[in-house]
Amino acid sequence: MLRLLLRRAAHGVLIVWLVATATFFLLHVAPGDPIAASLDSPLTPPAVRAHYRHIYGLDQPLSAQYGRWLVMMARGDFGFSFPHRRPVSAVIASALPNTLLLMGVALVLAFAAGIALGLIQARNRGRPLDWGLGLGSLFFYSMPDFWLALMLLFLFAFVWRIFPVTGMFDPVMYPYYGFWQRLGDRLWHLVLPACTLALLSAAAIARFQRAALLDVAGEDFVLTARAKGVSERRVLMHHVLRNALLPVITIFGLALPVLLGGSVFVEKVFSWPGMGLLTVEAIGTRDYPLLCAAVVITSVLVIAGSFIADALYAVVDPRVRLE
Amino acid sequence: MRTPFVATSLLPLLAAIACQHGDSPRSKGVEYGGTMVISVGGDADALFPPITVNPTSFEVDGLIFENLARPGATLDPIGDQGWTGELADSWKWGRDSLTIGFHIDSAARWHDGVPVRASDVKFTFDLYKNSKVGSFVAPLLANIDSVSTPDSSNAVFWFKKRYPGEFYDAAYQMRILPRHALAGADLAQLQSSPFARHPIGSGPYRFVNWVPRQTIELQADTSYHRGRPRLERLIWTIAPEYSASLVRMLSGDADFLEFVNPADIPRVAKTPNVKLVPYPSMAYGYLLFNERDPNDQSKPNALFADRSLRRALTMAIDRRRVAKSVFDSLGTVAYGPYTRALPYFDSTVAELPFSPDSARRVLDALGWHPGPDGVRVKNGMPLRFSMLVPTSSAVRMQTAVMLQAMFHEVGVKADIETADFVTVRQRNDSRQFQTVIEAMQSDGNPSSILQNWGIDAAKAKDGGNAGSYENPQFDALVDSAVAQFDPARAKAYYFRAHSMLNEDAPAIWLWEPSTVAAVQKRIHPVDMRADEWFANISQWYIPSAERIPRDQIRLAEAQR
Repeated sequence: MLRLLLRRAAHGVLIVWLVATATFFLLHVAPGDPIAASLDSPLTPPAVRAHYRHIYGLDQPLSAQYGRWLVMMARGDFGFSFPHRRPVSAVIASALPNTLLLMGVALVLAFAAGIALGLIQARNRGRPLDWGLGLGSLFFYSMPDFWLALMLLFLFAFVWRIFPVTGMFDPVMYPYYGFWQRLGDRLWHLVLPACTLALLSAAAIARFQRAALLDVAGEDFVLTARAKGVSERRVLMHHVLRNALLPVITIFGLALPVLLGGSVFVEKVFSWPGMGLLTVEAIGTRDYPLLCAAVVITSVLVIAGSFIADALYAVVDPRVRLE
Repeated sequence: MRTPFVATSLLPLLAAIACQHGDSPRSKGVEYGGTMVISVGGDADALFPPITVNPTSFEVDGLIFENLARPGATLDPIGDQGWTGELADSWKWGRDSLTIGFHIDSAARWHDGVPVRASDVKFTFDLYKNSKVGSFVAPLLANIDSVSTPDSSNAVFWFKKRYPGEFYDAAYQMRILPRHALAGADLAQLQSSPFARHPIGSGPYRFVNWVPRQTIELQADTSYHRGRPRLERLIWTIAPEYSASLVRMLSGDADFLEFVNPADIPRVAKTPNVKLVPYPSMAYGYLLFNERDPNDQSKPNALFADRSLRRALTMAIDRRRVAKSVFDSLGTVAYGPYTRALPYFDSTVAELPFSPDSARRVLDALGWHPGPDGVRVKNGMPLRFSMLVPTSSAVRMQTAVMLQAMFHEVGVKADIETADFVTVRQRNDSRQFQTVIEAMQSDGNPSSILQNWGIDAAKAKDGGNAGSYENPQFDALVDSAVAQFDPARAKAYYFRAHSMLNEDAPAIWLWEPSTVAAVQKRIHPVDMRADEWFANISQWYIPSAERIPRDQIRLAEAQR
């Protein structure tokens, strides 16, 4: 087991280095730099741009910049974000919890709803309920996230005024709230963005889950269980569902990086200051250090996610052994 | 050709709305209190004026910090006519006009209670000028030699030479900073210092809180030396998506939206609690010709080095139709790099007419004759070029499509080349383009025109004159204008310089949009200035009868 972990870790470091290096060079060969992007007015004196390029080493050869960046990364220093005028670690530290909260809640909701819907559909196969839920899943599955976000915003925040329009908290009242009111306010602002993401993901998960459940339901061991007189509920929950969770676990593993990557469009529509929007804005401003840091973090998570999925396989399916 | 849906004419609608609500300052008892929520698209980067170029930072800084004096409504940069004191309550010119002494208002206090002193002014000047700080304002202070402080209340600016913009440079280029809070700080690190995220100023509003990418909150300084502002709280909320900002405005979650898209104006006008407030703009758009060869800048451009060709291309464009199609009645034709909001705007400047026939005749005379495919050719070379446009700007994309069709009418093939904003900027700086559709914000100081059209800016690497337009006569006219102390004579020189820009056609001057803000009706009187919409915000107020729940916050303190 230890040897496996070490081998996986070594592979992981290599992959992260390759991805980060490729990102570094691709970004630097793209036109522009963070100084030109941030000080974009033609009225900005060239000397000022040159001053900042010198301070951040952008006037050095690319190889020298790469070497310096590698040393900084090895020390755990992500560098300085010129567009934000703050260290990258501080910028990420302020965005990461927001994304974790949103995506974490959305993922839990999506998997809970997706598995439950898949189960209901499988149990009611061929009936109107199965047909109706399938149609509903397909409807949300095929919907662009920004469009659904805008529609929910329009209906629930503007027409019916049930939920707040945007942001993570009430900008006017929040400083005057007590702990419980603040918690309630945060949750209230979380409802629309989390539901948007959950609706989109739950639809896909439900479709996978239904198909997997129906596949497993026809297996011999299920028939045997039924023949032995095991209750239908126990057959479904203990024998069928457990075996039908494998494809969903794969989706879960792949979803982990998304947990930190965030969702650009949903974050933008609901003014949710998370990692997705931060990363896309960083592309627009050529914020090299921030982008490289985001890529490194995401690639670490992809590797971790794949490892966690493998581990969960082993837990769920005794035939799978990590060795 | 597709034009955006906009109501038949927006200006009468806006005028009617403005009259209906009769915004006039209350003459009765002054009322304090209330909260104004401002919805903006982007967060501030740092709240530190010497390095601030970010629009949100600029707005917030403008209320936390003060200049020594502020210009009148005409924004005239010559002399001190029409200016009123801000941090300074009076000033005195030296006999030779090489010095101006500012007397600091003895009632002025920093927000931590420390009195503002003349030494703060000297400290600020030295800080702005220090190369370690990297202030973009530093080059604009080149004519100021030094600042001395004969006593704690007087700061004297010493100029290297006598020139009409002395007062403007001394009084308005710098926002004064607190020496006691910044002395000893590492100048190279000021942009990321705690001060830049928790500033102490002397302006009408004091800093309260900044949650990155979410909100910035300011609170009225009740002891502000020029009279406490009437609105108690100002809260900037960040909404990167314009639609979300608009919904916030229409649902009443926000009180102020700086810019409403022309297509949304009819809808906003129908919203019961929201009023539309048009205000002058300093923005203008143009198609810039590169007069140097993009591949070898030592050589002239094979097409656009020819003044006659540029003039012919200008005459091929129906600029009124372009402005009308893109902005409806909220856009007018630009007459040059200077907008109607500024004091040296010349409405009588001789423009090149829209005349496709004249354009064809000139092109024929220049030897550009139609080829088999209709595109003009000269010595085997087609009259074909690219127009660089940033994909992020729908307005410029729409403009490009219209220009392409109009050029086609006279046998010119213009290809639309799109790129992301930073790439366009980078190619602009490195002169790697044939033509580019630019949108620019005028500077209040008319002499800054040289930074975009002067010879020095053409020759400097990374300089602002990306089209490399070079005309010594134009530079001389602006230099003469800058040297005039008599505003009328300065104006005459500027007018001649603007006329030359129209005659030489280094660019096709396209449009000048009006800006329309959306504001909740309970906020009065909402008078906005072109250079700083928030310049008069201290006088805005919410009558007690019109207050909503969020205006009750801190009301007791406000009424104290």
